[in-house]
Amino acid sequence: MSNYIIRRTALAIITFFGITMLVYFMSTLAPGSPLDALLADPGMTKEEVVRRSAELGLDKPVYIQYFKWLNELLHGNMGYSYTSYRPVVDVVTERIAATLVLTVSAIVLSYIIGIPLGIISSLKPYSILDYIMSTLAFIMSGVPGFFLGMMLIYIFSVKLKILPFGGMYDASGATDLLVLIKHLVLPTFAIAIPEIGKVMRHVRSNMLEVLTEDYVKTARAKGVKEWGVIIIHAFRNTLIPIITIFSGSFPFMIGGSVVVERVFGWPGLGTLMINSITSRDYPIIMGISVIVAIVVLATNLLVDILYAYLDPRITYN
Amino acid sequence: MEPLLEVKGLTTSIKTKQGYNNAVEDVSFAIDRGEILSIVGESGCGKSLTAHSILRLITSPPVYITKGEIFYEGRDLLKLNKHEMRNIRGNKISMIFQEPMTSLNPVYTVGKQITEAILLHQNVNKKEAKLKAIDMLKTVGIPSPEQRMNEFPHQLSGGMRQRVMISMALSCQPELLIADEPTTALDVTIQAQILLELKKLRKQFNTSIILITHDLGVVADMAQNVLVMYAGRVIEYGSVKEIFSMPMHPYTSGLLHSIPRLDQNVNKLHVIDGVVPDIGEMPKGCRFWPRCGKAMSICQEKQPELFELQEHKVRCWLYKG
Repeated sequence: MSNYIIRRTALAIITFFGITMLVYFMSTLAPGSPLDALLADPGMTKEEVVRRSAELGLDKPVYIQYFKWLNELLHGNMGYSYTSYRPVVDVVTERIAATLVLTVSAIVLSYIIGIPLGIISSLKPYSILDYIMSTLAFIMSGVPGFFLGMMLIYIFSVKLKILPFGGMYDASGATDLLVLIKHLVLPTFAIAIPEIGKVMRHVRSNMLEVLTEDYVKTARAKGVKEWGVIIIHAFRNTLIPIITIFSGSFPFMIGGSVVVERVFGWPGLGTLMINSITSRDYPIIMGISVIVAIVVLATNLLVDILYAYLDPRITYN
Repeated sequence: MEPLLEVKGLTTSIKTKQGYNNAVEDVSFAIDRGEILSIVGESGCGKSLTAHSILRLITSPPVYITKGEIFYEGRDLLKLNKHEMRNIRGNKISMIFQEPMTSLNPVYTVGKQITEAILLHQNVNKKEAKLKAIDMLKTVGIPSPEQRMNEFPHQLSGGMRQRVMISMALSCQPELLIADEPTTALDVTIQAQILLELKKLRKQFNTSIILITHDLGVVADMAQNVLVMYAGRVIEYGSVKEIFSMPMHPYTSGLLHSIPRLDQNVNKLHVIDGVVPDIGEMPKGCRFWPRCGKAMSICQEKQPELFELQEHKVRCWLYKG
């Protein structure tokens, strides 16, 4: 077991470097430069631009820039923002909490709603209720987050006027929980709804498979109550595929939250990421990538370890 | 003396778009305390569905019990509510299945699965249930049971798993054990051990057993009475002694002839020509006539009743009156 964890961790570290390399090269090689803003200034001399470029190390080839950045990272220095000149660590950490609140709420919500609905759908397969729920699940999982976000804003903020259309707190400056929750509802649903659809479909299909297993019949023959048969004997066996789905969709939920944050003006990493991409603020882009990569890789590692706990048949040899 | 379980006119149907198809039709039998009754027949003859119908373990939809009564200790099991039925299952009547490899839940230890059954039906605490489970594992011949308690099903062999299933089924000392082809999936040597174990346990606890099998050798070895089924109907019913020495129905004698004998030099194995008809396309009259060497014109017209001849019942026009 410990051997397995060591191997997985090693693999995660290699993946981590792969991700940073890819993001660095892609953002640096993309058209546009952090110096574009300087060039827009008519009073700016050519010499001045070249000097700035050398100062930031932008005159070196990309791979040298990358290794310089990596070297700094390994020494605990994530650099400074090109636009605000503040340390990347500070800029990123003050945004993490907002993003975590949003994604964690969305994840919890989607599984709390998706799992029971999926189970209910599987108990009477091909009934009218099942058809309705399956159709809904398909629609939900097919709607893009940005569209959903705008629809939610239109319905609940513009027409019904019951929920705020953006931000994390209102203009009064109060930061109490109630205000936060009010602002949290719409963006959370915008991320969670497509996920609910996916969870429902996966739970349903896995439950349908497990419910025909012999051990479910054994449980009934023992005299176990019907809910016990469904939850303890059947659903427990679908946890492995559901956890797999979770680890697969987790990075996409983080990615999706970037778009949704933008739509709702949520002051999280997603909004910061988009602003940084527009202004070609490489150190910030890299800082966010590092954080997101660590979170995603750690989650996947945790899931791998969880497998062994959930399914005794899995051994790590 | 009143029999332990009496099934009267049980009909179990599968609902299809064309209507109800009777997969089990008008099946009646009775089993006494301590008796072993064997239900034999080919795959798909309805023997397993009959057994599942007794404990109402059928999947509705599409399968429904459409007619009949199942009396257990004077009560009709088909009229019990869900709660009352759960008190029967695993407590008074238990069941073990064909596939020991898949009949145990892979994510729970053997011990947890046995104690679950004990805790459901008996007024004991967890510790007592555990001791009882260990005791049961010992009874069914599992070595070092304390250690096995903490093992998962995948760590046991097929024979061991079937023993675990038996110990689980017998953990509440049921009066009736329904064994649905308990040895079909096992090696021949393991099969013999399991059957021996069942015999021993029947003596020890005076449990009645309904043994479902397609192996006539098992029937001869284990049962006192035998019920032969064909295409959902009982075609012959009587004591093993009678039926094996004097089979009446052409199907039963065909089955008995199909057993290769060691004391004769056989070049070609005997088979019954044809196949079991599809459930949606049952022939009119006797369901066996298209394959029967003794078919008469009446066989194609009218279904024979179960004619009673002393201790022996047979559904065939040859034995009318």
